[in-house]
Amino acid sequence: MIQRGSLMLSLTHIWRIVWVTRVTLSLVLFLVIIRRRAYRQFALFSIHSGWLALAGAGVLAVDYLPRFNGYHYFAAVAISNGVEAILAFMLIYQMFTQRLSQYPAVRELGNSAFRATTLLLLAAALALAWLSPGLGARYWTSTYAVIDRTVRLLQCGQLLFLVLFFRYFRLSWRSRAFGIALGLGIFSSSSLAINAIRSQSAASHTLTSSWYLLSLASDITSMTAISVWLAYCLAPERVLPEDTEKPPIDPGLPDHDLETWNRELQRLI
Amino acid sequence: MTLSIILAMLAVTVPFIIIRVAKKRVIAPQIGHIRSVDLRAFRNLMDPEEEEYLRLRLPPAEFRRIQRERLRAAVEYIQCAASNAAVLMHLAETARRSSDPATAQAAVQLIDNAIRLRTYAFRAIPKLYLGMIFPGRRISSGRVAESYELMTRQVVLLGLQYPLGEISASL
Repeated sequence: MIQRGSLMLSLTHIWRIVWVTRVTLSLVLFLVIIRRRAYRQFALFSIHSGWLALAGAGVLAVDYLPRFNGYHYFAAVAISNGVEAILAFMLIYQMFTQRLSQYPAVRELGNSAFRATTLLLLAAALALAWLSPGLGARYWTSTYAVIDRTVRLLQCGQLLFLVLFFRYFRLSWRSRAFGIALGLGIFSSSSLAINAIRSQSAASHTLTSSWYLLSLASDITSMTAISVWLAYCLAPERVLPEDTEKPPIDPGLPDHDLETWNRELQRLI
Repeated sequence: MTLSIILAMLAVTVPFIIIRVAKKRVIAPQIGHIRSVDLRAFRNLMDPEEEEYLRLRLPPAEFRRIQRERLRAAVEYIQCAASNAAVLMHLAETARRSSDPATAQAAVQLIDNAIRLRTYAFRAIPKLYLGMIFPGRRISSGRVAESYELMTRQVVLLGLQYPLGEISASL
């Protein structure tokens, strides 16, 4: 029983406000994508954002409408997160292959490394699921938490691989593509952290203060990710490193360069 | 439980790593970062005949010590070449957006080769470290030297069409 003025009641209120704000923000993001026609460049990201908005509103409706019960709510959350995770995987892979398509020299190595990393991560995630199964009293909620943790672990690993691979080979990012990756990083890592804690909490399915606190943290981090996406969608597109950079040195021809060039040309001939 | 807490803590670091890597990217490599690479010296370090000669002439312990030093020097050369490739890639990225198709084409070729060089470096360095642990083992640096040589030529070609300043002399 929740008592008036208790900490849990305050948490419930705050969580519901944050939840509604998060869903509203995701709707705003989707509208911005449509208005700015960003879907032309980032079709999959647009579908991902559209799903976040639609599923977010759907889950909210299931929670508020009296004809739906707890099982319906759980199913709605599972479907919403499941589809979101599939779209996020597709998005990460598309970001990677799209960037590599411009650099044929590294395409083959990149694809093999991506596959190898995914297999390694999958093995690690499955080992973790084996070593540290969920502790929840109810089978489905506990299983769901472990599956979600596995999926988010894979996503985080793939994102880290992508960023480090691009870094090593100095492949430039479009700022929006980087924004998408950063947002996904926040989204997946926070989900992973929260689910790692939730999967080990015996009371993961009961409405305790810690449940509300974790849900609140989850919604706040999701809001942060959506805000990052929104900021990058609203900002003008540029290339990292700086696109507008001028040629590094004045176009004058230093004398000693002529000598080097002559030598190199002779070698070429 | 402990495993999950460690996992949760590691997960929190992911966005920070992404931001940190991106921040490093914004600090673009400068021409001043280019260091000269003596290809002849590098080839000499990787020459199997030279290694064989040292093996025959030196006592085993002395050979192992010298060979480790030679491989350490080779790693430094490769790191230097890979770092130069990164600088050149940055410059070529700018040239790639040139309105002149010949310049853009030369820049694309340079980027391609610079990436290839970094790939070779990525593969060669662990082998060299392995060679330091087992000094008798035959080590190949792959095609680092050839790739670097080709890259310097491409810099010269690009420099004929696009202002790269003193880079070709620095290489």
